[in-house]
Amino acid sequence: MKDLLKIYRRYILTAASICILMLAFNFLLLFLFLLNQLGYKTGENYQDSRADFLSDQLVLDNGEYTLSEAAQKQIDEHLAFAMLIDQEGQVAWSQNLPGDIPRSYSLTQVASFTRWYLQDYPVKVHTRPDGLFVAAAPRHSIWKQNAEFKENFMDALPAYLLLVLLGNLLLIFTFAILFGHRFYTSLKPLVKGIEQLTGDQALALPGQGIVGDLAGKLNEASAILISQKKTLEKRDNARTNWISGVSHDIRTPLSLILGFSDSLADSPNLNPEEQKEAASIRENSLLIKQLIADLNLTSRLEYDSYPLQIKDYSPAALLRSLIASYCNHDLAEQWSLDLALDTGLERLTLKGDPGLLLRAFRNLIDNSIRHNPEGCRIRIQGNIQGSFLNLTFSDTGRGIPAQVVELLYHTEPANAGGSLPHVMGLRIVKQIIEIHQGTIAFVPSGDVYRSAVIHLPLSAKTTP
Amino acid sequence: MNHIYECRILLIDDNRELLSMLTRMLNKEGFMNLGIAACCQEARKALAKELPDLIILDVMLPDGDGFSFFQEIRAKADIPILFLSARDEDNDRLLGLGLGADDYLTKPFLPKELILRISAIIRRSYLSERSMQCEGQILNLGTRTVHFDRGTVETPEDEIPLTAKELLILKKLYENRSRIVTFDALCDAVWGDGYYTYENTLMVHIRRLREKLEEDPSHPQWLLTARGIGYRLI
Repeated sequence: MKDLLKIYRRYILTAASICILMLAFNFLLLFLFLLNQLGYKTGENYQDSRADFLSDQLVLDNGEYTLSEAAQKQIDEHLAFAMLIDQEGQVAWSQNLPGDIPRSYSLTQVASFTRWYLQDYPVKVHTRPDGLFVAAAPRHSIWKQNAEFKENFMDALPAYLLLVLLGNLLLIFTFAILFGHRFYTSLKPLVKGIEQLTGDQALALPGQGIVGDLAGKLNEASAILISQKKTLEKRDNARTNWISGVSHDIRTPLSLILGFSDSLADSPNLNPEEQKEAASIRENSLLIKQLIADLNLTSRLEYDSYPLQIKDYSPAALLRSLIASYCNHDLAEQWSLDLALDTGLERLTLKGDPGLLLRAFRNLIDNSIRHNPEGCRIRIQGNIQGSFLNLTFSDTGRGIPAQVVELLYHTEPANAGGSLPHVMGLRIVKQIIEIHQGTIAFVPSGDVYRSAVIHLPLSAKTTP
Repeated sequence: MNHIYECRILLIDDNRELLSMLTRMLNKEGFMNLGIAACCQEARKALAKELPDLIILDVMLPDGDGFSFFQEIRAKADIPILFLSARDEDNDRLLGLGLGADDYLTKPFLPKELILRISAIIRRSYLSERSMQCEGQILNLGTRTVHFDRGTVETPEDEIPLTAKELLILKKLYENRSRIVTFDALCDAVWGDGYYTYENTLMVHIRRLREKLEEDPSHPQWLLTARGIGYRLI
């Protein structure tokens, strides 16, 4: 919802900015227009065709009016006609005067056209001692309107303009907020839908409103996701159940093989060679038993069907109990186990599944024992670095072949042909550590890897 | 019952070959009073005839599931029961143990492991009074003797009293004799809490115990240190 508020805020700001920009643009246009109009009034043509200018150019010489050539040209080019009405109301002089324009005027006629139109010709007048000079522009060329305002209104006009501006701004913001809110409320179910998209329930967002189409698409996407999720779950469950079923069916026959081979291995009726063979069947049956358990665990970990028992545990106590269990179960002399923990670990309590972690640690130690039958020294070190607990499992044996580590980090082996080493035990370790949001790295030493370093975050939020 | 081998055991499993193997295996170990049943029906008949001292029960039976049958048996008699099942899921294990089973072993199993578990259940259920309690027992450590009932160590010259904490530590070590008991397990037994808080206190108690138990406390013969892990009583 935080994102939605951000969108809402941005929407309001953008809408307000657009309106303010529009306002400013309009004011600019108005200003330019006025400037242009002023230019028209102060321009050469206007100036030249102004009634007073033309009037000045008209002089009475020997009882006859003459107009300068330039003024005559001005009238020809820019005006419809010009005339001089004497004090008696008679046209004393004119240029281009149309036939339908009267040649004499009463006082009322003069009063009615001076500021407006003379038979639709917009006119301008200039009073002079010998009469009234009239300059008429062509018909329909100038729009004239009489503006009349109270003086106190004109005095207060700047304040009124400011008020109008502020009122506009206020309205802009109010509308931006109102429409923003409408936009926000229509987006809200959409955002909620997106948040719930990864859930188990199909979305059923209302298809009305401005985001109706989007909501419809989101509902469709949710239905597709749910269906895909179900298909995946079904496939994962089928796989896990198949592995679990097969391993279940193998268990009872394997019990018989283990029981009989164990009995035969100790049977006095068999010669030593046969006893050895029976013992080999027993050992291999145990190996199959371990493989079945590993296969089951790895598939359940991979498909999240392992019920985690999350609780507080002390890594130091866990490791001590692990070492003690090896020592108490007659670990042969050729193998020795050392535990070196920093004192910082003694106070440390983490959250996790201690049973699973023990399984991971056991796998690492068992690997050292199994692959070094001639014996080796196994060392477990623990320390805290920053926000991680580091546990290093190393041994003085032959080390882990590079191919094993490569296989562990690639689901598809690089060299798929030929026989591949067995990495299920280490894969389980990796899975368990990753479930605890940790990582495992193998440290190379020459051609092989001699130690495995586990990093477990001190603030792990373990998720299944 | 004077000996675990006198125990009557009823084996219930739908696989007759496995039943025959188990019978031979248990016979070989000395358990002679054995009964077998391949389904709930047969088991009911056997139980009606005579109640065994221990039942080994499969979870998947042709005419019912072992968990329900377990409850049926327990409703009639409080007989120790060990589940022997091909179902290895934690949920099944927890369900079986949660119902009150004495143990849960998954197939395939090592014959020796089954024998050890059977023996442990029988001891716990029928011979516990005599074998499990430390009280009244005597622990001989060379020239010195620990009397758990009196809470003392008898030396050739004197009888030294043990403090309550020393006695608790010694009992825990005695219960796990010859095995390493971690610092954490000892602290749990004595204080019921984490090891770190009591590290120094535990060391003090061990030193004092050695002074009472050992001829030469600086070179202990009986109460040994497993460096970085815990202690072991030889």
